[in-house]
Amino acid sequence: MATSRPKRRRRPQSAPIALGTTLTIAGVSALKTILSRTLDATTPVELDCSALQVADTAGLQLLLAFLREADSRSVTVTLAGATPELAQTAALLGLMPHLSAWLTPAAQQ
Amino acid sequence: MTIDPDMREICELFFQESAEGLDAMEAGLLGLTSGAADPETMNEIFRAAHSIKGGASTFGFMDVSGFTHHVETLLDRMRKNEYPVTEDAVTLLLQTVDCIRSMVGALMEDRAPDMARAATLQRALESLPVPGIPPATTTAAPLSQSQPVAASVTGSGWNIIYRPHEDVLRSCNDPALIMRELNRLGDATVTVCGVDQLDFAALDPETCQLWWQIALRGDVSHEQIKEVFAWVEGQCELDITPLESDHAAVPESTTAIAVASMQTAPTVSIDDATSAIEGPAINRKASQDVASIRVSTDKVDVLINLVGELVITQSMLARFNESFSTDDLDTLRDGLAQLTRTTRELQEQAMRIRMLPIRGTFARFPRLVHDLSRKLGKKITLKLTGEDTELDKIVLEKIADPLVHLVRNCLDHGIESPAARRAAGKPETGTLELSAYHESGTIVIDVIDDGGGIDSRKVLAKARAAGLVPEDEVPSQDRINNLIFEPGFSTADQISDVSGRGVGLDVVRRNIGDLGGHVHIQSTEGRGSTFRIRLPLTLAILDGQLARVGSEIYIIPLISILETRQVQREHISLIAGQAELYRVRDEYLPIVRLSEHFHVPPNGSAVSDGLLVIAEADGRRAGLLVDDLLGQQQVVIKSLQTNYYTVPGFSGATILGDGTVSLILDVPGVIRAARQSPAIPVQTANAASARASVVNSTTSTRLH
Repeated sequence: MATSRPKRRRRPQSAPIALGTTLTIAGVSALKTILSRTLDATTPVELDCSALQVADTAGLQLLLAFLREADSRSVTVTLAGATPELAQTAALLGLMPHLSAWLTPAAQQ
Repeated sequence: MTIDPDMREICELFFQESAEGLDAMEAGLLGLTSGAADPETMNEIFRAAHSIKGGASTFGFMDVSGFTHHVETLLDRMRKNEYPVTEDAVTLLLQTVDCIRSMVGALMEDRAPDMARAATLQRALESLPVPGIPPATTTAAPLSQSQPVAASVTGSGWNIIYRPHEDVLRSCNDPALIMRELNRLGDATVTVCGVDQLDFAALDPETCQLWWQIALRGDVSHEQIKEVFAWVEGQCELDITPLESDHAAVPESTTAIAVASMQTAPTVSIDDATSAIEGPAINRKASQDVASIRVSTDKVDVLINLVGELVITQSMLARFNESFSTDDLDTLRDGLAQLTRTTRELQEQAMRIRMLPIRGTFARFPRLVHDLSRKLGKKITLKLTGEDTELDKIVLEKIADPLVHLVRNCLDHGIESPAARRAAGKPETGTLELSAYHESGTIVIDVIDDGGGIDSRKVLAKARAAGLVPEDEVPSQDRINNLIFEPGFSTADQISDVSGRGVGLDVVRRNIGDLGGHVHIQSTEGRGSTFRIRLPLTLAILDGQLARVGSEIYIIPLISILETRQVQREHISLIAGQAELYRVRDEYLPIVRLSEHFHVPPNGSAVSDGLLVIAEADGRRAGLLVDDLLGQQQVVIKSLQTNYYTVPGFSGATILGDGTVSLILDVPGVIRAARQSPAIPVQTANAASARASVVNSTTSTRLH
């Protein structure tokens, strides 16, 4: 089911969270702990995906769960610099309709 | 799919267990009545389906587990009272049971399962109408808020449902890699499911909570797809079905029920119904061919105890090997008596291992009666009694088909339509009773119906027209009733698509005769018929009457003997062709002089010196003339075919207590031969060679 685009609010932004080069099962447990902390924040969250080279199902599943949770709590999240690699894996898994609200048009191509 | 030979043995366990599970599902479904489901029955059916699914998944039979998953989903809804028990739903579930049975049967025979049938039933399951809601338009519309997420798909290809187990990610089997491979094969439209259920707080990020539906278009074979999923075999539920050209939409939530019009749901044609009826019989046959039997631990314990006793007796007797004095004579005698007792008991108990309750054979009839009565528009109650009666496994397997034929015959011709029954002052619902019990060392199976019985006048008229009964003969009522077993006998209105399939009741009688048994019918016009099948307990041991003919001792199976008589000369009549007839009460029976038949010099030349054994086989009676009757005893049958070759007139051989070999009379064969020609000689040399072969084979067996 496609999710509606979250409302962007102009608020002071916290320091971006860098996802690094991999978004895979190896790092999902640690990443979940980091992402959980941001959900209580009142400031918008920025995830820096610009260095991402490898993503897998576990990573994208966690990312999607986080984005949906944040949306339900009205926490604004932006995916900065989403790479084609991320989009490709998302497309393979049929996740694009669910992630498109957060991805920039460049990443979706 | 070919099963790895190393896995074959363990797979047999799955086949056996799934056959039992399917029987349990079928029995449970037949016990359901429309309306609210009985929780216990529903749970039993669900558990059986769940075990089959789990077993299939464990052994890598993903087609079976995938299809069973859909069946299980509906059953789960029914047991939670989320979906009502309706006649349509039960009928559909019964069809799915047949389908799973045929899929398992195919796997047993290393054939590819019929996935098209599974796909049709799966769609029928998904589009079961919700009672109370009027049918919607011809296209499926989801009931829940979930949207159908797959786009319309056209062209050839496959619909794949891939549900990885939660721990698939930990084994580095990333679904993304599978999707990449599928994309290489063809044009894949991937739809992810389970997104709505993702809960960030509760998520164990290393588990997979998503599953996928993939429409793969292109020239791709089933095997190619299976190959892609080979890495995750046992780690997922996989369902691969041919892509439909109209739509391949699945609701995102598996619990959603699509409401479709009745027209879109596959309807059951008469042919389908017939195949459903035929199906279980065929497939059960396959499942019964598994060369193993389940033995209760009680039976094994008894055997172990007996072997223990045998060892004790043996050690007691072994000491006489070292020293023996005449004082030990009583102890020796006691030991030998003990040895005899234990050996006999061990033999009986060992035979019992092959004995199985008739319950398994009877289990097919509720379904058969349910389906046939619907088809014939009759109301029939089935009563089963004596299901725990035990029979030899081989007898049990071979009696199934004749029984099915008799039951079909009773349903089709015996029990009348509700209107006819009302008119005859009977209750609308007819009763068919199947009952099994032991009687004088034999097994009796009765097939009783309370239908119209046999129309004697019609049967006699047809028999006269067919030349089976001469115009001037006035046969007894019993003879008329049993005419229906004659080859080629049929009445025009007896032929229907239910029982008129070219296999007559004569074949039933022949099959039962091959098992050493016989079938007899009693019928009262207007009140019903009883088919009584009498069978030996086992095919390995036979109760025999020892009879002396000249210097030979033959064994006549007791089951064939009706009575024995001292020959009285005044009861003998001679007819043209030198045939002798003997009058027994009102009946004239042909006399078969066994001494002449087997070319053995008789003791006395006068007929009156001998004894007449009145025997019956295939519904025909004859008097077998022997010199003397010696006694009755249980004999172990040795095959002539295995040790020598088939000798006409004899069905086997045995070794008597004094070590001599005795031939067992093939009563049906002897009577048939005697009726065809007064004396079909059997070379004495042949019989002598046969005896020698049995002795040799036994000696060599003993030496080993």
